[in-house]
Amino acid sequence: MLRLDHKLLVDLGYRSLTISQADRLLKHLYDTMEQNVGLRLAEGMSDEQLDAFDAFFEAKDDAGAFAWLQRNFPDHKEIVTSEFAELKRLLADTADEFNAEAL
Amino acid sequence: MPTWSDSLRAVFDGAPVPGAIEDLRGPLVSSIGALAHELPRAFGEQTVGFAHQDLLADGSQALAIMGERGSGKTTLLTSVCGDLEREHRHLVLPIMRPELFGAADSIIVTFLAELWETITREAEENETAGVGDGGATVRLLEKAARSFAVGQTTPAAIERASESPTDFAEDLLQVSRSRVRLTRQLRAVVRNVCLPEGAPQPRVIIVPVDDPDLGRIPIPDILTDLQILGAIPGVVPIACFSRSDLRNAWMGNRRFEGEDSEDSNFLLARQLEKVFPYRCRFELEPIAEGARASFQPVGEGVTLAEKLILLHQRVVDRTRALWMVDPAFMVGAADLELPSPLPDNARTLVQLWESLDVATVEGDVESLYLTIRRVLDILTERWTGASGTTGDRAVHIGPARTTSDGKPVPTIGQIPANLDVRVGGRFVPAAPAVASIQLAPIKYVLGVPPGQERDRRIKPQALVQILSMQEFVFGSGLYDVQHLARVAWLGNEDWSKLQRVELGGRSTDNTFILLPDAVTFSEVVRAASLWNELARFSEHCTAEQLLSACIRASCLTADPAAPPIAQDGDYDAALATAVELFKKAASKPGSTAAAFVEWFACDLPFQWHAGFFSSDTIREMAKQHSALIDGLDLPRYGAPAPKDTFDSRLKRILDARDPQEDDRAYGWVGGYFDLAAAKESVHLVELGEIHRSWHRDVTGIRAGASASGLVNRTQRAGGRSALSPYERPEGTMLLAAAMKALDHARSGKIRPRT
Repeated sequence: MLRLDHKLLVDLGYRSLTISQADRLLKHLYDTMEQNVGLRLAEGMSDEQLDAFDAFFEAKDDAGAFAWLQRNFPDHKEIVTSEFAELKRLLADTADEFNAEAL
Repeated sequence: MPTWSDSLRAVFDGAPVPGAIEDLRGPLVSSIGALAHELPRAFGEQTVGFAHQDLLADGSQALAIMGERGSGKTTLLTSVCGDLEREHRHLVLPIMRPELFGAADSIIVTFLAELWETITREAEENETAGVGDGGATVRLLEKAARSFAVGQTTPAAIERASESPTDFAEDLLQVSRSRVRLTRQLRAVVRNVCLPEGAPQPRVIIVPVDDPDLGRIPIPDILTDLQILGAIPGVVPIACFSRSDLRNAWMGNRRFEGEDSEDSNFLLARQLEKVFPYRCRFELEPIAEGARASFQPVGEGVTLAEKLILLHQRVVDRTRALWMVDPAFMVGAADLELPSPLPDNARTLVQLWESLDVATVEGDVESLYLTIRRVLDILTERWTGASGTTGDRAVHIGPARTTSDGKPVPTIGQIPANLDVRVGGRFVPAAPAVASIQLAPIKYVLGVPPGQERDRRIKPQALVQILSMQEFVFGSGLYDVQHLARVAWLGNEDWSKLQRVELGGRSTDNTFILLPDAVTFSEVVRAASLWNELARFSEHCTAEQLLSACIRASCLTADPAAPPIAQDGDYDAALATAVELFKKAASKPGSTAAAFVEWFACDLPFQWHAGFFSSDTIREMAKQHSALIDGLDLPRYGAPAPKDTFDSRLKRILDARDPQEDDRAYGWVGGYFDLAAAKESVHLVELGEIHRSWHRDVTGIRAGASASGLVNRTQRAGGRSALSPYERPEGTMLLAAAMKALDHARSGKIRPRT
């Protein structure tokens, strides 16, 4: 399980943030990851798969949609992990750059 | 309405005066009573020899009534003089008006002449009540007048009359002595007049002076005269003037003398302090916004608001327009920084009140137009000046068109402002969603000069004058405005600034939540208030509820009795209300109905996007909408046909695509495919191609939500303690940098993956 918490931000170099600021950044990180993961998954779908997946949402069947995803995209965990790692690296680079300039 | 100053006579006779004037009337009369009470001590009869009183003379005790033009200074002065006259105690000289002075006149000359008239008349009428000294006072007055006349002799005149240098020097000395003697002689006169033998109580001589700055005599000379008189115990000059007019007169004079303006300002302030000590100043404030509507001239029983309401009724009876004058027209909308368009001074309010008289004649169309023309002249006075067209009318109402429906054609002068809104909140990054709408409230409405000077702001008073002109010209339905270009208004550009709409996770052109254009003062106030209500509602509602509320708000701009914004969130019900109102408004004149019709025909369909509605729903709504507006001729400003409006928007978006940028950034436009198909848009083919991208975006949002369940977002205490306990600049800047980096990563412009 991937963790998005204050410790993650502290480890990435964001000690100067307050709790409230950290919460805002974590939410934005999560939203960005969710959207990017979704786009990467959607990019890999054929038109038929897009329709099939959408059908679960039209039927408001979230569990069915997730099960479909597991069946048709068994690598979706890797996509999530890889997106998480890339965004972590982006944040770490940003903090390093900012802190270096501050010095 | 009384004429020939009957109203001032009523004031003099003690008629009730407006509150602001009444508030100062008592204190002014009291301060005169206090000066009279001090009089015996001021003359120092018991302790100081008469010849030495000059050494002990205090400064001037002249009273000043200050206020802008028309604020009621003359009314206050008249009312105080009337009060004092009725007291039968003090000597009240007639009001001096320096603007009527001849070349040889001055305040002191007039004072001496009027005092002469008064005391001789008093002596004739009732010897015992007046100066019962057997003519001694009159003789003193003669001497004082002679001293004054001699003191006025110029060196050039002396030189011409002198035969030798010795004669010249002696004559010059004589003139100087006369000037010195004048003050002493005046004191002697005044003491006799104010403290006559046997009188029960001391009295003072009131010297009222109206608008001293308007005379031909240089203002420094007038102030000097007032200072001389004000320093004589027993003489109480009361001068009423506008501080800014006095300053202008002073500066003009000193500039003529070649003086630096900074020095002139300083000298004026010092001179005013000497003539009118602060305790002697009575300032009339402009009439409060809340009090203008209830204004009624002295002796009248009808308020300005009542007359305006009657005028409105006469207009609506004639035009049948959906013209709703907002209550804010009477008091202003402080929350939007829009002051009341009604004048802030009593004189102009009286004139507005008087001008409204003719409109009360029922069925008299010509008088209705005449009334509005006069009202427009009054309400646009400042704008006319501010726009640099002093002397021109802000609005010229031409003759009626013969080819149209016989309405007069207005021509509007240069409008020096566009309307703009200041956004009263911040947009935050939205969570991924098929559709996300954020609304920000309007902080205030402002006018900005057209062209490049967007950062400048015109004065709110000038802006409301433009809007009040538009209130009558556009709102009333009385005029033929077809030929007019759009003027200052709130419209789609403004509503777009106040919304952030993301569809399929993509930024859009933020043109979804739209209200009818607002062009009159009332429309602007109402639209801005409704927008702010929508913004508050948007914080806790779904996208569909917000779209429904937007329709409700739009209906409320044209029909205050329509259901409230948060009625039920039922989109179909809201749409049905809008349809009924559209049918009613389509045949009505005036800008309110026109704006609603235009909104219904052109702007409402912008809501019908696949991010909010199913394909079938969009096609059905579009079909019914087309049936309603088919063949509709939009009633104003040569607005494009509704279909062209939709196509123009699509073209603008599609043309703005950056070839270097990921096409998916515009995928959201594909969500208009169904609407474009139903409306037979010329961009249908392009939208068909983009529609695939839209579909993928929406699925991506849904897939992301499913897959991201793998992430644990629980906070742990350990991390919290390592964070900063208080906000620091470096933390704020670092947060901004990180958010920006994530934005880039999210938009796909800079993909973090290698």
